[in-house]
Amino acid sequence: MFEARLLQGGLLKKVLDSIKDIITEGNFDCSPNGLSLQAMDSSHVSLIDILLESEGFEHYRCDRNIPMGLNITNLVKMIKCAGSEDIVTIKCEDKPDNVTFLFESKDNDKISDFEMKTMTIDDEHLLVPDQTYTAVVKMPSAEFQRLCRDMAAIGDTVNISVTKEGVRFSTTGDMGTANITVRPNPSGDQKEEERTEVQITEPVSAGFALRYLNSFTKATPLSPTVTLGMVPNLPIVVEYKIADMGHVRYYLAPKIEDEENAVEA
Amino acid sequence: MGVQGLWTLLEPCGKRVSVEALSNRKLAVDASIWLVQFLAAMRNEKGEQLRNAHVLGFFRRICKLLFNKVRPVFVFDGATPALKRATTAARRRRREQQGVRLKKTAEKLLLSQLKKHALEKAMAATRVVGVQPKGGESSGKPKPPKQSAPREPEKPRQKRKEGYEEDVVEVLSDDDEGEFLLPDDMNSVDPTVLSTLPPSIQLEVMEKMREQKTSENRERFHRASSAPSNFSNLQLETYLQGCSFRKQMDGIKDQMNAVHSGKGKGKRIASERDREYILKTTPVDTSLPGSSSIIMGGSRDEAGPSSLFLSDPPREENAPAKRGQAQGGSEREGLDLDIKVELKRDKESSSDDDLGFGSDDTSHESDGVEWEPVEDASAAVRPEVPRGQQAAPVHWRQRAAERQKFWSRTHGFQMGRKLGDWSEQDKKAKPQGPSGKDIENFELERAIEMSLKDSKGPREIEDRELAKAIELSQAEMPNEGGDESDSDLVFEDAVDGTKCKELGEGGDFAITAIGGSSGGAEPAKEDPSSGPEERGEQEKASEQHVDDAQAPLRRDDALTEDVENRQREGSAGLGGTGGGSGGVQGQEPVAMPRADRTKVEKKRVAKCSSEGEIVAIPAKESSEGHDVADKDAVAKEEAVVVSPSPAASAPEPSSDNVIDLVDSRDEDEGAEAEAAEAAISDGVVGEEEGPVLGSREVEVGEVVDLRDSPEAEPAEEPNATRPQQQPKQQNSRANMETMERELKHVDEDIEKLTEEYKRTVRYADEPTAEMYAECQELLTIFGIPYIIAPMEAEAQCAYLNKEGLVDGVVTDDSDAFLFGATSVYRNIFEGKKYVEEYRMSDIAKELALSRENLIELALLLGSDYTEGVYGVGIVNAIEIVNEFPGVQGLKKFKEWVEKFDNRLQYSKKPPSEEGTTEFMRKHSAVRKNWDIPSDFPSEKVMQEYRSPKIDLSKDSFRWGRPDMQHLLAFCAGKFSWPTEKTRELLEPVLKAYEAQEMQLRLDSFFSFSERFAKFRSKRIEKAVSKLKKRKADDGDDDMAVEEVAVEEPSRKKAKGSRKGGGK
Repeated sequence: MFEARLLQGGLLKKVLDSIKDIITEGNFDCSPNGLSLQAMDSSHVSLIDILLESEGFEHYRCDRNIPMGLNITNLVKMIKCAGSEDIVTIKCEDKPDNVTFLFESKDNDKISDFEMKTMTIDDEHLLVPDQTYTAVVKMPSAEFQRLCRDMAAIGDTVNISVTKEGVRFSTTGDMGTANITVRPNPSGDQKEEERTEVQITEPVSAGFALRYLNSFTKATPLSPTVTLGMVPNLPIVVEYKIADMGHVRYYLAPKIEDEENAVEA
Repeated sequence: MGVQGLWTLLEPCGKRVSVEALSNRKLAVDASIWLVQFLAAMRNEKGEQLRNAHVLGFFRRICKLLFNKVRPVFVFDGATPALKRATTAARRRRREQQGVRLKKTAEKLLLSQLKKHALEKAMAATRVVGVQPKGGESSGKPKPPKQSAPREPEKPRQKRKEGYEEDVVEVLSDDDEGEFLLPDDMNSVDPTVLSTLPPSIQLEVMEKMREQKTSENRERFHRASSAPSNFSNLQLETYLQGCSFRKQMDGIKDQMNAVHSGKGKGKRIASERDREYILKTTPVDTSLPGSSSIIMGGSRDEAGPSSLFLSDPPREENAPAKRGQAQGGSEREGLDLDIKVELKRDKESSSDDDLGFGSDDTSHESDGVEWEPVEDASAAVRPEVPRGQQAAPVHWRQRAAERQKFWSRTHGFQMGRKLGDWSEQDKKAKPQGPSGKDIENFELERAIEMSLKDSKGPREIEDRELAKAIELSQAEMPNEGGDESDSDLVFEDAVDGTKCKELGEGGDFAITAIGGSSGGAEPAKEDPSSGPEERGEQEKASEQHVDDAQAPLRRDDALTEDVENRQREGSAGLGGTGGGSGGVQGQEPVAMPRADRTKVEKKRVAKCSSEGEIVAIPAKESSEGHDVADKDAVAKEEAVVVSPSPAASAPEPSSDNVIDLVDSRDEDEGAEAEAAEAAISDGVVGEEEGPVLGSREVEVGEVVDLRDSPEAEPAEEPNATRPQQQPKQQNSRANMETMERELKHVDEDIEKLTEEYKRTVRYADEPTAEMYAECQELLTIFGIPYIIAPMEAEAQCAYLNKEGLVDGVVTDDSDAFLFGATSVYRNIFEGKKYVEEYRMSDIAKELALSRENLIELALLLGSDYTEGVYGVGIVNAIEIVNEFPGVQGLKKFKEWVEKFDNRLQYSKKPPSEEGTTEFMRKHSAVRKNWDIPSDFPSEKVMQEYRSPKIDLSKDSFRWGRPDMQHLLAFCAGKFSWPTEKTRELLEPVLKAYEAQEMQLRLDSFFSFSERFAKFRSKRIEKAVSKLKKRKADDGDDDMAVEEVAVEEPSRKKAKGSRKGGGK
């Protein structure tokens, strides 16, 4: 038996919006700790890791681990029926064939419930190692979103290099090159959310596909800030913290120069 | 093939991986099955093989691999291991059986089609009768059944049985009503009224009219045959009528084509049942439809599906640009030719006397050999023997002239039939046949041509003089001469270069094309299309249209002589038989553009009638504006007038059913009557469902024919009699219902049979060494390394994989695991986005199966190397492996199965013996059905898997850049793709290849947690879990055992490879 009641139904919407471009189906794992989802895109380049902790729910009950395989596309359709202020309750049995979504309007004058079929999804749970990132950049999420969008207009791949001085985003495309450097400004008088912070133990530089980064920024509404964590030659993590709830994390494998081809060419 | 049913077991632990995930992986591609797959799979909707299917398939797959940035290493099969050979032998037996089945299916199919046709006719008849019970006009045309019957291609065949003569009258009247109710007087059909009908109906009506007309004419001819002058007048008259009629029909056909193609200029050039080939003459549509479209003369046109013969090979469809250009060139040439004909004609005809002589000569002898049988054949069909034979000696000249026209076609057909037959046989036997034989023919031809070079010389000089006399610059003349021989040589070269391919295609087309008949036309057409191409180029070089016009003419002459000489030689020395020279001939005419060809024919007609000039003039006239077919017709007419020979109608039979006669000519050396019969049926079949049946043996047609008649007759009999005397409508309605039902049945039958035919025909082909060579050539151009394994490709792939030379193996063959592959990609070319990935580690983890276990499974299930235990499927096999672990276990298993059935004992005892008994108890009933091979568990088979003979080289592979230029040329050659198409296809591939960056996957950073395989069978699941449990329980012990098991093969490997080398 699983039951969870979420006061800000809009949050669920935002979470789904942040993943629907990347995956079409996924297993929501209900555990006593909370609701989580881990899924890779079809080409296994990026990984989504969502955690909604039980504390964030108004009411949360989960007796045992229940995988809830859901079609994300359909789920989005269903959640669309909920108003952004609605209270959402998710319910299912231990071995669910269906998951029930209950939407209560804020004023309690309308209750709608939906039942959605579950599906069996091959569980491909990745063990993401706990990583200490050699470079962590925290910046306003809107800024990051804009940056990615601008970059994507010029090239396919962005090279992110983090040094003490700041973060340098650069890309090359048919029309030319673009460089954007974001400097850390911890001492400024901006609000915490608008600051850019860089913590670095070792400079890192790697290239990433803007296509994926751009779809990650769909999570911008979830959080005012975004955190980029990098380790040389390892996937980048793009994390959006959900206040009092958990996080949406994206892992993205880097692109590398194709030496073999380069030599031949 | 692999281990039977093993995939079913492995599937649960396969992963669906995005195709992109393969990028930058080095994959060993087991290409050995590809060819077989392509041959089986790449077929059109009728189940016939596509042209160069194997290369095309390779091309597509290579593109896909490269596009996904895979670095493939192709591995081909080498020699077949002895064990596999034995198993393959068994498989071949199966294939032979399939061949037999194929033939049977084809026969059945034919039968059904005939039945259907008969029923449809009968139905139509009943319907018309139902609506209009008085079918008066059939009586208006008193047609002696004897003569008209053979005109009707379908009926006589059905009726030819015993009661034929008696009920023919009824049949005929029935027929007439059955088709369309036509007015008595053909000419009274108002074209405007007719034109209001939909084109298809117009055509049908016209065809019906024509049919009736022909029979009517025959009758008239018969009557007039006593007075030669009357006869020829009559003939002229009929021809003129026929011509105009045919024009109308052509017009309608064009219209129909226009409707179909959406453009007015299209010309249907060939058609199969649900496919049309339309030639669009873009450059000069006012003129003749190109030099290639002339094979069908006027008289032939009456024979019906003239469109079949018109113009280019069906390949036109996918070969538009280049060929089209070439054709444009030749068309222009033809046009110019016509303009200049006038200037040259009279002189030519005077200088052509010896040619005429030559042709006389040839026709004389070839007459005896080849024409006579036709006579007989047709005589057998319709009882006009006396006339035909009387006529023969007297007017042999005339007939010979006519005959000449058929010559090329005849032999074209003959060739075609042969090709067709060969390719049929191919399916049954070896595919090398056609090219081999044809090369012979080619060589023969070439040899003759060489020897004739000299005799050509004088003629050329003569021509040159002529040309001078008329108007041309002298400077061009030597050029011309050079041109000609050049072009001949070039042509030869071209033929040489492409002959294998083309003939292969020819074979294909022979099947594809309609019946044996058009099949013949096609291979013949192959060549001219390249011939004119060459010539067109040369001519362009000289850039003189005038020259263009003359060159063909001169060539014409030379070739005419050539033909004759060749004929002489052919019959005198080389061939000895008509067939021998036939082979040569069939190819020869092909060397000329069609326009020239017709002219040669025309000239001959003229000469033979000793009135060259008279004929030449009308010929000129018509050549100026119209269809060459027309010219032909007119010329023929003219000839007819000049020489008042009743025998001029000798070609008549062929005019109705050229195909048939051609067929019969091929076949009827001995048994004339039968062959002719068969030929007609064959020809009809060719028209109706030829594409399905290809050039079926005549015997088949005959057999079916005979079988068919009884069936068709009862269906028709009632209608045949009833409509004569005021029919009872109810009866006929009831009849119709029955027939409708019957028709439905037959339709279903046909559908089913077609399916079966398709299915069986698939597996009747085998890849040849040439095919492999072609594919390897393609790989080289793409810069992809390939190796030919010493023996099994999948074994080599597995080795490369094991040694880390490649990251994975692409194969559909589950053997790869048994040979030690660690990751196998399957169905890589099936879906667009996903690939199934199987890892040995997953298999070991999820299924608790080691490589040794898999080999044991192979022993049980059967694989390439062993037939397996009969009756054991995957579920039983996994249970057996579970219950009887190890090789020793398998031995025990064998003992147990072969032991006397002591079920009673077991059932009395409680299942105490550590579970084994439970299995034994459950299976003791079935085990007597299991048939264990005597050498089970065969050490040899295991050895073969553990240490296959492979190339142990560990050199790393290098990949080159795809060579665009080469690829363009290659595609143009093999698929006749225009440059743009190839470019379009290859550009994304090259772009992907050149992309510098490479996207890494998360898989290489994060490890997967435990996955749970889902089994389809509960029993498998149970057995697997037991296996797992046992291995887990035994813990270290078991692991040790397994290690030994894994260790063992590698130790044996060294030994085994030595052994393998010794073999």
